[in-house]
Amino acid sequence: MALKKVGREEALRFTRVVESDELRLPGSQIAAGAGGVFVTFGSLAEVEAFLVPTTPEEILASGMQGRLNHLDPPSLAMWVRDMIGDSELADALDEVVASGRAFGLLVPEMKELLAERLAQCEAVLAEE
Amino acid sequence: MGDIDKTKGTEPEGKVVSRREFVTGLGGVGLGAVIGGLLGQGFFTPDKVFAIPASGGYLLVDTKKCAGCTSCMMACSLVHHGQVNYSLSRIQITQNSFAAFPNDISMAMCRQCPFPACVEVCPTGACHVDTANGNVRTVDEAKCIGCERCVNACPFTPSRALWNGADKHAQKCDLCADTPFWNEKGGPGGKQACATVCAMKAISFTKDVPVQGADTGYNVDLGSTSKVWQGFGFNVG
Amino acid sequence: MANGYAGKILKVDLTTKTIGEIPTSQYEQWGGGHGMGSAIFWDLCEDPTVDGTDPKNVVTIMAGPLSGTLASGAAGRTEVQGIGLQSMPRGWFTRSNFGGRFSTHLKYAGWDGIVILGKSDKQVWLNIVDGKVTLEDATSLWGLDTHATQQKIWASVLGAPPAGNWDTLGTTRDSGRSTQRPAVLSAGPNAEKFGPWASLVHDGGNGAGQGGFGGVFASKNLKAVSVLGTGGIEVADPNALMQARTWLMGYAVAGNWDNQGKNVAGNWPLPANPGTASSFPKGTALRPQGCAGCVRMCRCRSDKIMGNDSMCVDFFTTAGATPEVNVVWTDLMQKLGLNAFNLVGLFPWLRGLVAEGAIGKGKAIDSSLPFEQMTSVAFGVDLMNSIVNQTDIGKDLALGLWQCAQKWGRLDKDLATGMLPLQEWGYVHHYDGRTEAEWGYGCLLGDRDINEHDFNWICYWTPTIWAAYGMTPLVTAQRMAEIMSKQMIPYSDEPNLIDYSDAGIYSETMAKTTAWHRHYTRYYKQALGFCDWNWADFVNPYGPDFVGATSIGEPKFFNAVTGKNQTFAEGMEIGRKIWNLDRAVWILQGRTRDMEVFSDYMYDVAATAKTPGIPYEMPYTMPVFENGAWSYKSVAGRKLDRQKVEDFKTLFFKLEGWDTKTGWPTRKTLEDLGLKNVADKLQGAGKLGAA
Repeated sequence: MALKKVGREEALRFTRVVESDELRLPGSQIAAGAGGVFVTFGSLAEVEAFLVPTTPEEILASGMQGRLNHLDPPSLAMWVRDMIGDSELADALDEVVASGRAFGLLVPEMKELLAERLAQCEAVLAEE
Repeated sequence: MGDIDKTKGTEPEGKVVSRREFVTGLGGVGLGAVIGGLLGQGFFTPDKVFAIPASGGYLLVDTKKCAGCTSCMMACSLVHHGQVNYSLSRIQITQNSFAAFPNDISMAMCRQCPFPACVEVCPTGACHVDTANGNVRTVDEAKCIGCERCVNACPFTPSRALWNGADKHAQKCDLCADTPFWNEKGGPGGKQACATVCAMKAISFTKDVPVQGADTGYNVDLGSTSKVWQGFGFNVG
Repeated sequence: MANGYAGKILKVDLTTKTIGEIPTSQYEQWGGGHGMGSAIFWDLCEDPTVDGTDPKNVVTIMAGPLSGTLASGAAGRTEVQGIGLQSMPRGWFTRSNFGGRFSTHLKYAGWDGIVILGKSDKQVWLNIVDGKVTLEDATSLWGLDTHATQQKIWASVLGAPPAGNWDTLGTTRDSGRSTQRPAVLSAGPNAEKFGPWASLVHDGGNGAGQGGFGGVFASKNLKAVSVLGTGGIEVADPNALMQARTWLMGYAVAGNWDNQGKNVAGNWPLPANPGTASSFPKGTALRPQGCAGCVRMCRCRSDKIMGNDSMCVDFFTTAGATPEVNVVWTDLMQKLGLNAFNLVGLFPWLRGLVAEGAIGKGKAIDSSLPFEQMTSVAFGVDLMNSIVNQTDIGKDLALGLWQCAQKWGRLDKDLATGMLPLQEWGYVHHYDGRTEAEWGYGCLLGDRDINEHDFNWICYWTPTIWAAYGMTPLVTAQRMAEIMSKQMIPYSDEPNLIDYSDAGIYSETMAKTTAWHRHYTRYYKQALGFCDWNWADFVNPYGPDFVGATSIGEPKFFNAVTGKNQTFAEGMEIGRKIWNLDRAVWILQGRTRDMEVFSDYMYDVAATAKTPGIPYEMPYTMPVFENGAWSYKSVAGRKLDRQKVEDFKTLFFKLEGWDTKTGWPTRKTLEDLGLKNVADKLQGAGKLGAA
């Protein structure tokens, strides 16, 4: 899943925090015992940090302290395309979503893609 | 082992160790090995105070697994006395919510000492070795005159021999040899209530004499460093 | 008598400083815990319409027959009741409870509970050592945190800091010995200053968190209650109790250590569970810790001390901070005796206010708190201290979340959007009444956020995780419905009790589910102490055909301890009686059906986020019965229909035998429950339901 290298301008755009609250991506943290809370993300880095690869066994084994960090994968792809402006990353995310698997099974790949893009951007911005 | 004293013609087969060595737990491992070798046999000390067989069973605990639920204490008092009562429990769990793990919980179970001070000091033989029940060290309540020498003689804190103020006799862990309120066979040949109810499997039973002296003989790893336990995130390390 | 009861209830009049007793037999028909507490409150509270800080408020701290026994997941709880300080528009007669070892010591000291009346003229703490009960000077304790208070009381009761040996309590050699530390329940420092927020804390973190009982204590000039018991409780059938214990262990990992990979849905219920462990910073060495008599052990103790005995919401689930930060906040929250759930609601509200530009230095709500770093240690520490000391916004927050919003002129607006997430009665939104109907209704028709996860775990959480990972469910929705219907006596002839479809949530069967839940929790969980972390046990991977222990296990333990032959159905009927008695108290306090409405956002805002153009629904997968078939379906994104909720209330009132116009119990309903005196009193107040 190799994303193409990005230039400096792209790196700045892709690593920014979106300009207004209306542009933030929604998600939720749901906890078995405590209920769920909506959260929003303004940058790729925030989303990457939020996604936690885990297994359902681990979550259920936590009893009423099980937690799931959730977002809507198609919405993530759309947000990356429309708000962040990274259509290549969005295409790659769309491909992961197209596999039709459940949310939890997509998390490791989505996280990996985001991490890859962020690492590329970091490398480019460090060069200056 | 040093100080082996072979007094001719008076000892049984097997080794002899001095009382000092025995009580101080010289070297730990070596002494345990010596004691282990005496399993089921009697031995004499040089002063020939008395000869006692080793107990046929011992409780081992893992204080890092204990969750402080005190179910063992409730079960102990329940099966022996028909009531739940911490003060009658022959196993004592103490805990301090404001201390750091692993020092927040202590488990105090009777060690069934190979050289039991409580048996030695009893003037009436109430506290004795029960040869009919795997040589468990226990109190014959009918013979107890309430002098509490056993309570004071126990070298451990809290003393494993305890005073029953309601019924006015001493009592101690008998490995559930005499549990009138439980329909399970107990004693060294049977089940122990505390181990049965322990949800953490932090109490187990063994027939092998533990290493004497240091806590490590009785406070053992019953899975607290296992992958399963670590996998729960407890990081006991 | 070998029946699990100590035989007497302690009655303390703080005004006259008299110590008395009530024979437990007078209230035994109510079971214990909440049942006895409500009945005692009914008898002894002269005027339930007073404010919770009024000396006429009666506080009960009750154990039950199973407290201090091996009744697993029931032995450790203690139930606290009285007129609370938290709910709005008025403090309802309410409840909270806490775990640990307090009710065990209370029973072993010879008491089935404590009743506290009046108000002391001096600051005191209540010292119970077996039958010796005294009021001690609490002047030097009043400003101390809950942890320091408890440790000082330990040293005071034992004469010296605990040394781990046998302590002789009393003056004779037979007067009782113990190796144990006293079990202490304490309010926070100067709790009268933040009453609606003030909790009661026992040991490191067993908290009676909701209701403001720390403030109620403080209003009575009572700082803490300490109990140490050296006696015992006789059990009717000790062998049966031992067998019940090992039977129940088979339904938990406790009895299945070698068989953990048995089911596809994971291992539950685990000890302490990785959930608690994961709340601590990585690398923290931990042990699981459990209340007296438990098989589950849901807490932890750590090598850093901070966070000991805390779990779940105590670790600030909504604040978005790291475990390193959370554990510092948790420790402070427990020490200060602050309601963790209020903090759960406060963080999203503050974030919303910050986003709106409404709060901060020089803003409409002026505050110097470091809002730019809301996930830092300093922010949480400063915020909590501001509430306890009434500085900065803490001065207004300390009034209570609802009252604070009202003062800031934001109440209606923020409840309309849900930015201030108070679902009903001013209590912080916990589980969503728009999706999980029985939760919302139970809160609305009661007095507080119910915090009862019986349906929540198996009907919401587990299917949601199954769906999120595309797993094959342990049981189909149909099988789940079959199992649960059978257990939900006396409604077992209803097949659709867990239908959470759009139509199902307003149906008569949902009314039955809601009623079942109220009755079950009032008796089994709050009167007998069966803990929310273990019970109800509906569907269980270790049970035969996945059938859990509920409806068999509860009577098994109760009968083994008490020697009675009580059926589950009989217990449910006692629960209905307790529920009706509570209803009567609320009615005397002014409850009418038109007060029973959710905050506006529940009707006007779907449970979705509102970012324009970016669809999102918080996952909420539940069993539904639609088009003649059962399935698990996402019911997220739902909002409630006002009229349908009103119609549901009518169905519910009819089912419960209450006047559908007012929601007041009728004479027939009350007399059938043996509550003629309650009917008479309601009639005298002009509040009896019409037939």
